[in-house]
Amino acid sequence: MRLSTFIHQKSSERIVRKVRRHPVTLVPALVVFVLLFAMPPTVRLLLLTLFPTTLQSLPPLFPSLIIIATSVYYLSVLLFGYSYFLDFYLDLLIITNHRIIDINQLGLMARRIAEVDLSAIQDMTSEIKGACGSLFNYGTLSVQTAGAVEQFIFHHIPHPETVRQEILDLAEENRKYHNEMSKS
Amino acid sequence: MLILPLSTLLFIYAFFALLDVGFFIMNISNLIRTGTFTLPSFFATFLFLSGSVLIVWATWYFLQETDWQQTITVWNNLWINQLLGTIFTVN
Repeated sequence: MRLSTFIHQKSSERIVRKVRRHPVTLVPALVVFVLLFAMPPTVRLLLLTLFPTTLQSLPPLFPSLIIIATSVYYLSVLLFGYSYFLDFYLDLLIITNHRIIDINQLGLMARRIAEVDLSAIQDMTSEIKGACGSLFNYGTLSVQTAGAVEQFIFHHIPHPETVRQEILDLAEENRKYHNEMSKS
Repeated sequence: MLILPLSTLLFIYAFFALLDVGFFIMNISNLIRTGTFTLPSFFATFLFLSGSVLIVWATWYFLQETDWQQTITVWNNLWINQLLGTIFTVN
């Protein structure tokens, strides 16, 4: 399926920008992932150093048990990493010349999709906080709307000020278009 | 006393592997359904798949010499008796 089909893109609608969270926000999970991967060899090394005779005197079945347990562990860690990346990748903010669509993947089996018409936007705020946010230029974008959902908040998006300006320009363009349509 | 053949471990492993496959299918279906199967997600999927194949292959390689007909004692009442014996031994 194409993204345009997924968001039911109208014929006059064009996707202006697709925004995901800044890749730098993946770094903590990446560190955890690397630590989890390094754990079995580290534990083995520690055991060999601290209790060298104990490991040699284990029953002959024990290595097979350890290998199977380690294999299950590594498969689980790999799956955790993959699922985490997809959770990041499937969270998407789509800006079109008509609306903003916020797709939020909630774990493996849930997804929340919210959208707001550009004409319903009342106010927008972009905020960059902290050392990391300032260094890598990412932050929060809040959209105040006149719709049922009063506020949309998008966290960790790259270049929030540029995105805010772009949405404001599109909203202005949209307003002009609707005014011309109502006059003619 | 509860004794199981070592091959039981393979069934447990197969169960985990199937669970892994199930989660993978769910992830892939999410990618396809949302129309986000692009180069980065393809690369991540490729890494996941190649990593999984490597792990399964390494497991098979290291377990080649294992005699799966052996039995493994999962539970023995004597262990408790011995344990209690060591705790409550009066010197």
